[in-house]
Amino acid sequence: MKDEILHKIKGWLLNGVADFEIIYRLKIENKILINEEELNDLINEDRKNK
Amino acid sequence: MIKNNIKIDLENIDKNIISEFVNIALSTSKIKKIVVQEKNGDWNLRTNINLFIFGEIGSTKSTLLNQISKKTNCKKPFTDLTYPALIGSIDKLTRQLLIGACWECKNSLLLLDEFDFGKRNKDDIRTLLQLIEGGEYNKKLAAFSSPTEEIDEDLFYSFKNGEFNVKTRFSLIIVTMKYPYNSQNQELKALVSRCITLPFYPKKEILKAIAHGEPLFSFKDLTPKEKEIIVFKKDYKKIVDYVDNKNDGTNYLRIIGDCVRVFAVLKKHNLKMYDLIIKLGSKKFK
Repeated sequence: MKDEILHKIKGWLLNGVADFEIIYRLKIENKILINEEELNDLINEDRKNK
Repeated sequence: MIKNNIKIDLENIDKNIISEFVNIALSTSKIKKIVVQEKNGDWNLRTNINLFIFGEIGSTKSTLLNQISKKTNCKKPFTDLTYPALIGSIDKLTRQLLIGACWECKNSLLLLDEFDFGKRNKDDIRTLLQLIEGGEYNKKLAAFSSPTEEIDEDLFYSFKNGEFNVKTRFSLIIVTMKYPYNSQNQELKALVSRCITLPFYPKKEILKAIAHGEPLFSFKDLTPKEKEIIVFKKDYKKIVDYVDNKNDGTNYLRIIGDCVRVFAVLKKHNLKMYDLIIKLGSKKFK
């Protein structure tokens, strides 16, 4: 589930979607509540795992 | 303080680099699909590169747009783009459908001159955001006109039973005198995050050369032969590794996205362009 969401977020970011829009989309489309800090942590964690 | 930063940024951005970005942006508007291969799956990347050019009054921004329009044969710059002008509208008297700029500029550039975000209706910008991200737009209108349908390969524009269904693709070039990074406007931030931002503050020598008739923009057709491009894992990895070494994490994936689009057009890794995209894309909003 986490990988699937992360894949989605990365796709949005590659297409230039702004952070606040991603937070809004996750809330509406996936019922996931996340703040900007948590979003950055998630992306950084994925980046380090590469 | 802001001006000093801009001057530092400007040292490497001249009209030739702007021309290169515009030529690449124009080419991306003609690409149907970019698929990026990654170890966890494929991504469909939006194809269009959008440019956000900002500069002082009298910095020849409008001249630049007019030259781009003339040399690339795209529509003349729009100065006041409202929702009806962008999507389309119905003439009240004749009930005729007036086709919007989003379709007229398909596979080409949509040029916006002196775009003032303060005066814009939020819906205008949101529609623009939707169109430059995926190119698809549907909306029901309380208006009647005879059905219209236009198809151009993978793109379409239709109005039936009071409903607009649009799939289009264009590269947006905005010029403005507003410095974008101090803005608190969410829509503007969203728009800037989808664009490569280019500060344009030509020095006196450049302005003097323009006054003597030197062109600001040079057109070069970079349109790739294939309209569906696959970016293989090795090329994607090369881009990711390059950005990774030069970026601290700010706008990291957005920068990778723009570098991939440049690669899709040029079919080779242009490190000079990547460096610029990294440098320009690493700027944060205040």
